[in-house]
Amino acid sequence: MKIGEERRDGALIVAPSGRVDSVSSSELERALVGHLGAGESRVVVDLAQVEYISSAGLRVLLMTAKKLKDADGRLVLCAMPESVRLVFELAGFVPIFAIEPTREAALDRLGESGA
Amino acid sequence: MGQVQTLVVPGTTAGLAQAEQGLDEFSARHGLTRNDTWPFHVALDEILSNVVKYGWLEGDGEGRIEIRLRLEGEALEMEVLDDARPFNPLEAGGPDTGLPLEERPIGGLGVEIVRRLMDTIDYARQDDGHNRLTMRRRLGL
Repeated sequence: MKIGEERRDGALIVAPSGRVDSVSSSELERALVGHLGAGESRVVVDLAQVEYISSAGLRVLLMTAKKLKDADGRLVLCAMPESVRLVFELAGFVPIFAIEPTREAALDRLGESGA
Repeated sequence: MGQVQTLVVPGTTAGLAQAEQGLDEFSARHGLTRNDTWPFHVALDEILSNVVKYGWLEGDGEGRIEIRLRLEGEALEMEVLDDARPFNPLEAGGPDTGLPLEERPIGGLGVEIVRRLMDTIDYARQDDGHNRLTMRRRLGL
């Protein structure tokens, strides 16, 4: 799985592409855990290039959100394709995450005070 | 009635990856789009993860999983058969204990997703010592 990474406005943007499932989610987990370990606290995960996500992928994102919150940081997800959005809805995960339609909106949300 | 395409893979995580590839090949052969097939990829990931994790015990040896794919008009039917002990993948992760979805064991959350993605899903234990899970969804929704 390719994982794009970029910094903007003091935030880290991680953009996985392809399938985020039991086969590939550990790669995403390794990348995110590495960044968190290096002190990243403001993270956007841009899902625009994700074909679909399974519960293995949801778990990685949930773990990341919790770790960031514990470190007074924040995770914002953005640009979910329909397939990804539907799985989040079916899993009951929509209320748990900060979800924005675009990278810009996600960066804005990260920049909000008290966000 | 449409033709049945059968894939056979080992009951291991490598077998799961092979199964996903087999579904890709079936999809390409029949001109199906990603919009058509992604729910089946997710279902395979969830179901086979549970079967591989819970189906066979130490000393059972390597298991065998058969996936049958059949196009029927506007729908795709997928059956997963395994030669594990009597085991319903839909019950993986234990009974519903009232936990919020995000706190359910991994198997339980995945099963919920599959139940909601598929139009129908049914488990049966066959007389020949196989578990059979049959699921169906209209394409392209």
